[in-house]
Amino acid sequence: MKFVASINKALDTLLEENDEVIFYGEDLADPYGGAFKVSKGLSSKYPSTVISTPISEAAIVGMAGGMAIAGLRPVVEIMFGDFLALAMDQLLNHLTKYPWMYNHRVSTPVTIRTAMGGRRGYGPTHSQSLEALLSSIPRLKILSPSIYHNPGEILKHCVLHDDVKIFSEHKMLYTMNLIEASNPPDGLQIQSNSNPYPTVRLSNCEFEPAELLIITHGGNSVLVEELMLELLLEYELATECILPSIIKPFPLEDIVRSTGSPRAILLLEESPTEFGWSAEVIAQLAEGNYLDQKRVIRIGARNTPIPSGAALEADVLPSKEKILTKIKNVFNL
Amino acid sequence: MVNSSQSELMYHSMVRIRIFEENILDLFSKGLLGGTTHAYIGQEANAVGVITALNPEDIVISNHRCHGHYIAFKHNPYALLCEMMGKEDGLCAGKGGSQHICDDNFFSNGIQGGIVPLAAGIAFAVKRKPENKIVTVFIGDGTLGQGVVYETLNIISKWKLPVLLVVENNRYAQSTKIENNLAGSITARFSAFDIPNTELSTFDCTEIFESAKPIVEKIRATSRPHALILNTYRFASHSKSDDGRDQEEVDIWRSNDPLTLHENKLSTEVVKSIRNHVEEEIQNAVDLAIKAEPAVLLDGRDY
Amino acid sequence: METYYKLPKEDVNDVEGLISEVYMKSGDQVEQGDLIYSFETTKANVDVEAGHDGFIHYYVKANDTIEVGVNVCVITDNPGFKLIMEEPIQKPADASIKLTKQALAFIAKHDIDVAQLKLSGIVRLKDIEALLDTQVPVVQDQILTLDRENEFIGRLLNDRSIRALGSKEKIQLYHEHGYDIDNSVLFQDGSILIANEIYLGRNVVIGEGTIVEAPIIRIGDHTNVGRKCEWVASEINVGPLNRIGDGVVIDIAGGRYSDSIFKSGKDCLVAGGAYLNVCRSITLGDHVAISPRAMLFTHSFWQSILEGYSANFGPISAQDDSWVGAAAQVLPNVEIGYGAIVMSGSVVSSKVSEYSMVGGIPAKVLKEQLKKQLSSAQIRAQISSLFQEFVNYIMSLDYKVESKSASSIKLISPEQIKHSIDWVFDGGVEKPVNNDIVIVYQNESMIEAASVLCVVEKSIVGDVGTLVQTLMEFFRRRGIRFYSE
Repeated sequence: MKFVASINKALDTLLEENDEVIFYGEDLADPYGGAFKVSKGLSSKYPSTVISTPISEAAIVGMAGGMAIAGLRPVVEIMFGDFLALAMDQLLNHLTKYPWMYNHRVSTPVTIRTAMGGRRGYGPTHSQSLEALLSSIPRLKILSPSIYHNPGEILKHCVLHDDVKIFSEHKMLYTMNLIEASNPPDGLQIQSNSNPYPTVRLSNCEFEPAELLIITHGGNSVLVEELMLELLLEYELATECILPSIIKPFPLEDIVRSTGSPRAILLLEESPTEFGWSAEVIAQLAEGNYLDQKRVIRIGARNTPIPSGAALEADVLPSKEKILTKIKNVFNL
Repeated sequence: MVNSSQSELMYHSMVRIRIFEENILDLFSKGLLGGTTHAYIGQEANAVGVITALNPEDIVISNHRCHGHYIAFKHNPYALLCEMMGKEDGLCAGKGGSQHICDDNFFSNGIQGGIVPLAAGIAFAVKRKPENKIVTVFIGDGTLGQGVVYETLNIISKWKLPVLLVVENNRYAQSTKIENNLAGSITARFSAFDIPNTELSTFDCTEIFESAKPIVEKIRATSRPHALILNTYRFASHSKSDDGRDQEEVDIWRSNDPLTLHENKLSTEVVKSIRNHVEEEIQNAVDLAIKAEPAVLLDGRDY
Repeated sequence: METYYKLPKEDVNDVEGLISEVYMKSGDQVEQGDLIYSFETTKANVDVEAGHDGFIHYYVKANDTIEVGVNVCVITDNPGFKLIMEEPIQKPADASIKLTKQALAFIAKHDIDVAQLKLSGIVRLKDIEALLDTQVPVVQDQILTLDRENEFIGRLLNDRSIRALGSKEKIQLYHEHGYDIDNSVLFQDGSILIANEIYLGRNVVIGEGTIVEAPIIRIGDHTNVGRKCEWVASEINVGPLNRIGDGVVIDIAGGRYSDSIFKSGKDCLVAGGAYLNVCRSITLGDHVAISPRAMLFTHSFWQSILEGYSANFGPISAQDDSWVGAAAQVLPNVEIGYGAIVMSGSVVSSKVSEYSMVGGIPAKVLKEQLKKQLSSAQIRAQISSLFQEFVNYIMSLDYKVESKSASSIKLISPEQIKHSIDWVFDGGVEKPVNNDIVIVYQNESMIEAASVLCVVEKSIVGDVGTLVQTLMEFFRRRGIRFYSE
C-alpha cells in the first residue's frame, strides 16, 4: 500500500467512526483532493466534517485550538510544512500553552498534518524540514513516520490521543510503497516494537552487534536503505538503523539497547545540523552516558536555503555519497 | 428595558470591577502583587453591558485586559486575585496570572488578536450542538493591527459562526493614539467581510445592554457573526505607570465615569449599600488571598 | 496505420500514473477529440483525447498503474487490427545472488564454485564460511605436523645430547639428514631446531638455549635469533636481516590451524620477551618492529560461547614499516597498516590504518598521517647538518681528519687506512668518482664508489666495512636508517 493511501484510509476511518473528528485545510475538496491527494474522496464522503478553508494558516490553526477546547478533534492540513511559520503564534502561544497554563482545565487534541522535505525542486520556501524549529516548543509532539512504519495507524492513534501534534509527512514518501517487517528488501532485516508510536530497527547483519548505528526519521529512511545495502556489499560493515516514528519527545529508551556495540553513531536529518534535532538526540545520549568513546557523526543539509535546481538541491541536501565519505573516514574503509 | 433589579445587579457588577481594580493597583504599589496587569477602570460599562446580555452557558473570551470581563461573567474576584498572587486557589493555580486565565467557559490570553481564532474554533464546535450557545470575544482598537483577526473575520463570516466580536475602542493602543495607527474606519473593516456591525459611543451601561441584547439573540438565532464597536476610554494606564497621556485629556474623560452615570439612576441608599457590600467583599477577598496557600511547586506532581 | 498513445510525463516528479478511467471499449470507433482515457498523477487528474479518427484498442484498464512511457492504447485505421498485448515488462526475477566484496574476494581466493552452494539474496563472507563448514567438500589447507615417526626427528626431540653438540657438529648432523643449513650458520650452546624441513641462510645465528619446533623452519640471511627463545608453530618463516631478541616466545595456544604460521619480511625486529601466539598466522612485512614484551594474540577465548561469552580467532598482520610498542597487546583479526605505530602498553582490537598512531586501552587513533613528505630542501638541510656532526663524532673515535669541507672529509682510521666520505647533492657540485664512501640524496646518475649510501632509497650498496657501519650506527642514533642488502 502506498504511504498516501495509508493516510487517506486512516482519515476515512477516523471520520467514519468519530463524530468529533473534523478534517480541514486548504484545497482539500474533491476532485482536487489536496495538494498531494491525501484527502481524495473524503470531502465527497463527509461533506460536513471535511472542509476546504481560505488561505489562512494562522486562523485555521488557531481555530483548531478552539475546536479542541470545545470537545472536537480537529485534524488540520497545512499544505507545506514551510507554511507553518504563518501559524507560529497560534502554535507557540496558544495551542500548546492552553492546557498547561490553564492548569489542565482544558485539553487540546489537535493534529496538524503537513508535508515536509525537499528533493522535488520546489525551492527555498516549499522544501524545508522544520521539525527542528518546532521541536523546541514545549508540550508539542512531533511524529515523522517512514515507509517502514504504518503511517495510517500512527495517525489514527495520535488523532484520538494526546494534545498538540505535528504529523510530518515527507513529500517523497507519498507515492512510495510501505515496507512490512515480514517482507524486507534484500539484505535488510526489520524489527518493530509495538508501541502506539513504534520505533523500527533496520539491520544489514541480522541484528548481530552492529559497528555503526544510524539514527534518523521520516524521509531520510529512503537514503538509509541504499546506504546500508552499500555498506553491506562493499565493506560488510554491520549497521543498524533506528527509525523512531515519534521524534519529539525522543524515545531514548527505544534506542539505548542498540548503543552498546557500535563504534560510531551517525545521525541523519534533512535540516541543517546546527541547533537541530540530532543535536538534541546526541545531547540526550551524552547525558545518559551512552556515548562512551564513540565517534559521533551528524549529517544534515548545508546551512543555506534549499535551492530549486535539481543538482544544486542535491548538493545542499544530504546524499548517500556524502554520508559514505564520512563513514569511510571514521571506519578507515 | 432594564428593570430595577437588573439595573442594581449591573451597578453591583461594575462597582465590583472598579473596586477590585483599584485594590489591585494598590496592592501592586505596596509590593504585594508582582508581574503585570492591565486595569479596566473606566470601561466597566462595556463588560457589564454586554455580558449581562449573555447566557451563563455562553462562552466569553478576553484579552490581556480581562479582569472586568471575568468578574462580570464569573463573579469570582477571590479566585482571580489568588491567581494573580500565585496561590493554589487561583483560577489556574498561579500558572497564568493576570492575563492568561481560564474558568470553564471563560478564557483569556495575552497575544493581541490571538484569541479571535480561538473564539471562531469554539463557535464552530458549539454550532454543531443543539444548545445554541454563542461565543463573545473582546478585542481592542490596537488589536485591529493584527493579521490573524482579519483571517478569522473572513472565516466566521463565510462559515457563519455564532461570534459576537466586541471592539473596545479606548482610543489608545498601549501608548499610541488610534489616529496614528489605524487607517480607514473600524466599521468598514467588518462591512468588508459582510459582518453586520453596530457602533456605540456611550459610557451608559444600560444603553450598551439594550443594544447588545437583541444582537446576541440574533446571533443565537441566525448563527451569523456580529461586531459591536464600543467607543470608550480607560482611566488608568495601559499596564502600570506607563501612562503618557495628557492629564487634561484623561480628566475630561473621567467626567464620563460609567459608575457615576449609573448611580444617577439609583437611589443613594442602594448605591451606598452596594458600595459597602462590595468594598467588604473585596477586602475579605484580599485578606483571604494574602493568607491563602501559595501554589504547589511542580516537582513531584503531574505538571 | 497505428498511432500509439503512451502515458505522458505530466508531473516532472512522477514515474508512473494511475489510469482512472477508460471511456471506450477495445474495438470501438473513435473520432478526433473524443475522450479516450483519464489518468491521475500525484497532483492532478488529466483527461486525454483522441488525436485521430479510427478504431481504439486498449492495453490497460481502469485502476491499472503503469509507468510513464508505457502504451495506454492505440488508434488504428485498420478495422481488422488485433491487439497483441505486450508482455508486461517483468523485472528479471532476481535469481542471481549478490555477493559482498569480501565474499567475492574469498571465493576468488579459494576458488570456490558459487553455483554449488545454495545461496540466495545478499551473501556475506560468513554466510559462505558457514555453508562451507556444513556442505560441499572444499579442499582445505592441511594442518602440518611434525613427523614424529621419523627417527631423526624423534632423536631431535628426545636426545638431549644433540643440543650439547658444538655448532659445526650440529650442522654436520643436520646435513647428514638432508637439511639445508648454510655452513656460516652459528648454533650457540644448547640451541636446537626440530623440524621436517629446515632452510637456514648465510650467517644466521641461533641464540643460546633457543628451541624451535615446527614442521617447516626457514630463516633468511644474516638473521640473528636471540637466546632462550621457545617457538612452536606449524611453520616458522623468518626473513633476512631480522633481529629476534632473547626470550621471544611463539606458541600455538588456542589450537593448531593450517595457518599457524609466523612469517616476517626483511629487517624486522622482534625484541626481547615478545610473545607471539600463532594459533592463526602472524605476518610481519618488511622493516616491522615488535618492541619488548609486546604480545600478539590470534585467539581470544576462555569461557564458553554457550554461556553467552564470545570467542575470537583470527590472524594478525603488520604491514611494512609498522611498529608495535613495548608491552602493547594486539588482539585477533587486527591489521596494522603501513607505517603505523601502536603506542606502548596499548590494547589494539581493531584495524590500525596506515600511517596512524593508536594508543590506549582500548586503542584509539591519536595521530594520523604520520608519514609526511619532507621537501628535498628540508631533507638536504637535515643531512648536511648531521654530516657536520659526524665529522666531530668521528674525530672522537681516534680517526684522524686530514681535511674537511662542507661536503667532503678525508680521514685516516686507527688502523692507518685512508678513507674519504663525500656528501653529494644532486646536480650543481662536481660529482666525485671512485671515492670510498659517498652519501647521495638520489642516486640517479649512478655514482660509483666503494660504498654508496642513498638517502631516498635508504640503501647501502657496496662495502659495509667498519667505517660504513660506524656511519650507519651514527645515523641510526639520529633516527635515520640505511638498509644494506
